[in-house]
Amino acid sequence: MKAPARAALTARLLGFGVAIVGAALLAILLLWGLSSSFSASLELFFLGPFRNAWYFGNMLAEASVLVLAGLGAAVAFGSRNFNLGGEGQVYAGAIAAAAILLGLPTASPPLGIGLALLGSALAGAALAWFSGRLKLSLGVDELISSFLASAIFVYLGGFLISGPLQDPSSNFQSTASIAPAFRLARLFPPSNLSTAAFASLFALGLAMFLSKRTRLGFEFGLVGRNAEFARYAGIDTGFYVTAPMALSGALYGLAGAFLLLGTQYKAMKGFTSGIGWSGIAVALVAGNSPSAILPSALLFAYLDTGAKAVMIGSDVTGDIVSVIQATVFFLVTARAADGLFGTRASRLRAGGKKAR
Amino acid sequence: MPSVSMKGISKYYGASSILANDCADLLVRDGEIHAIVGENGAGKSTLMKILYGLERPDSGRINLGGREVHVRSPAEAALLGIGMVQQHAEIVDEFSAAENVVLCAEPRRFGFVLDRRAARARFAGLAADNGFSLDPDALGSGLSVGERQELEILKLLYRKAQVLVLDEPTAVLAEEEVFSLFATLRRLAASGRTIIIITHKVREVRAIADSVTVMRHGKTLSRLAAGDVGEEELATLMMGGQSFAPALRTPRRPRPEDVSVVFEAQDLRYVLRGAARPAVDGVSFSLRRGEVLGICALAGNGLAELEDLATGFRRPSSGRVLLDGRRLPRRRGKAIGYVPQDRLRRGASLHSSVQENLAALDRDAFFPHGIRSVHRMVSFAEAAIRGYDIAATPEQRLGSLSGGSIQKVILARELNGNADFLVFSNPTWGLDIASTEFVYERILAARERGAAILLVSSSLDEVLALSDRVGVMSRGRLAGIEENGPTLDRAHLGKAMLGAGHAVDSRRAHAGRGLAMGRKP
Repeated sequence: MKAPARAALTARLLGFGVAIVGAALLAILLLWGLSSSFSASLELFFLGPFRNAWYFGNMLAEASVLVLAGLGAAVAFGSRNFNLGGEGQVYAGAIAAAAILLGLPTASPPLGIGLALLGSALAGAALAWFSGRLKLSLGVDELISSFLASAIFVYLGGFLISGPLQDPSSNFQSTASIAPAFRLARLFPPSNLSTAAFASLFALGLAMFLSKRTRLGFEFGLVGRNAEFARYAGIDTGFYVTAPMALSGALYGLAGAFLLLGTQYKAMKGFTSGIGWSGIAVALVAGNSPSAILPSALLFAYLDTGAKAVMIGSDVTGDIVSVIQATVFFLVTARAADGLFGTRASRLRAGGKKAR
Repeated sequence: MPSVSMKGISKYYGASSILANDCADLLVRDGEIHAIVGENGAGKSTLMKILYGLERPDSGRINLGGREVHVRSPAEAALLGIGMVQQHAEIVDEFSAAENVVLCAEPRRFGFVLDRRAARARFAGLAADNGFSLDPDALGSGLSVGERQELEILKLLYRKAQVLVLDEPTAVLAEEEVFSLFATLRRLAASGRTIIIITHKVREVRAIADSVTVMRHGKTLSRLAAGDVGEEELATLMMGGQSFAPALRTPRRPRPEDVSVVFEAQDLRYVLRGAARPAVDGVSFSLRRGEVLGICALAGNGLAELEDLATGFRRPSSGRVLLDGRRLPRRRGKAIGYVPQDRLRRGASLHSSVQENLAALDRDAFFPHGIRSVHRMVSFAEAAIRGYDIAATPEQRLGSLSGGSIQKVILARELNGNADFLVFSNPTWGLDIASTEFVYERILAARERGAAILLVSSSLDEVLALSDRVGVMSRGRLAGIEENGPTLDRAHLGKAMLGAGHAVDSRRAHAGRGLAMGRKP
């Protein structure tokens, strides 16, 4: 009698399939309309990510950051806390890591990297925790407060990068590069894939263990599915507002730190390039389940890399990248709408089926 | 012109396996004020939701003004001139009274801009015609409960409703507000509208209705002229004599070692925000080991709030709740076993599995060192499924179970810890006879092992069947606690519960006697 679980899994896979096929069809349509060399562009888009080490490695590198951001979003959404401040929290994490490493250029690499990761997690966590705290004590909607706090921080971060942390020798608005000793080893030159990917996999495994095997994950799931029941069962529901928000922010912060340590080496203005939002998309496609985060992040990175390959290798302009990303996001959130907000509708549907 | 007749209406809720309406018939003549009375769960609201298009009947016919109609949605009901005021007013707090009334059918300028002046004028006209004194500019959030109800009625009148259905309109009102509501209803009836009011207060039937239909267990029993029927007769019809009652258990004589007080409520008062009167008003009682204290009341009389106060779900506005002489912990632990009235939302996680629901309370045991013990969870679930005869597997999603099975899962979880204090709220509501019998056995078994049990229920039969002592609540007050037994005056209890308790109260005040409810001489 695992029928309901199986049905839920089928529904999720179906949603996944719809998002993939829909996005692919639209990409084909766009390429057909926008490119003068349709078949070449098509091939670049779908096979480009596998063509050479650079694209393939970059795809995996992007996926590894998206896994962290996706987990960050899933941790919040899974407990019905809506953290929309991912952008700012990624930024905060990266800037904190950069500041620490630039401040301690001669520290031993393990110490420096450890401190940078800790600092970035704390910075992201503090930003998100603040919204959770406001929700708990003043009833402020965390969806709005996290979004606004993040928007403010993006400008604050911009100021830090072009002000106190600005690299005086550079014409770009960017910090100086971190010392080579702190840079994570590249796995797949010339691509950006670095040992940061292992950290992502570790975080993923930890999240799966926590959610499936521990009391923390059990209580977390009960709160997310029915907060009144959780309260009735004696669970400290207040803790499950602030803690998931803080953990979500910490994961976003870590995503920013690994982007810095593994790929960029310096924090530039606007360098997060929407990872905070992509993380939400990844979590929504995955239905907030840690075990589905990896395929979801890979899908997202694949489409993104394909779009970039087309952009570089053919006459299609960069805008198509944004259009295709937006399409994926749209298809994904349209499906997610029933996963996130449709619990009542699905229950009614289930009830109706039984009555018939 | 708008007479209402419903014939052979049946409605079965498959998800909770409840037969809410069982070939129910209703006849309301035009211009009449008709009351539908019955206990909780008798099917009154379902019948009216069917008339209003919120629910579709499985069978039966509806005639409006002699013409057969099919009401598929509230929008269609509105077109037919049927309007309903639900128990909870649906008012936009941020809008003014006038804006709320015209919402969705606004007078417009240029076809799309809300014409505020016209809205206010229409509102003022409507209010004046029908004797309302609401301020058109008052914000929804600033209205009292009574005013919100007036606003709901105005909304219906604005939509030209000829048949007005009110679901328990007096449940939340203060005495004066009830008078003013009744005056309004009489005016509306005099102007040719047909009014149906759902209630379970016998006194109100006599005060307002021309005729009355009694419902019990989904069936409509009789249609009577309100003037012809006495309060007691009506109460007996509603409560349904002994025929439906389970066998009376002999009250247990307390054993000497059982005298210690486990639970104590001291002068509890609870005022809901914005309410005209306290929901719980000066309630005190104590509970010893090995006894069942049954408290009975109809909906809206403070029973739900008392349930929340006794289990720590809400904090009293004043007064104290003591368990073993100490205040209730901030979060419920294993010391309280609690089977809530709201099983599906509070008592269960429908999207979790049976075994997860069973493990939700005693998490210390199922997560040694914080790590899930799959073995303990599965073996406890299997034991519970066997011991409670639950038709499910440990992995099954709880929401796919029947109402009776869900209740058994809740019982298995709450009784597992052998808590000294147990709270049962309407534990058999909607259950079939076999499940009811099973629940009763479990409650009495818990009493036998020495638990102190608080049973709150809207079924007098249930309270009388299980309790060693019985109390009745009306309008937030606990009328008095009596030893249960064959000498207990059942009719008197019923009357006190049905809101006829004022005479009792005043007699108590005059005579200065201890208990409000007398025994048979």
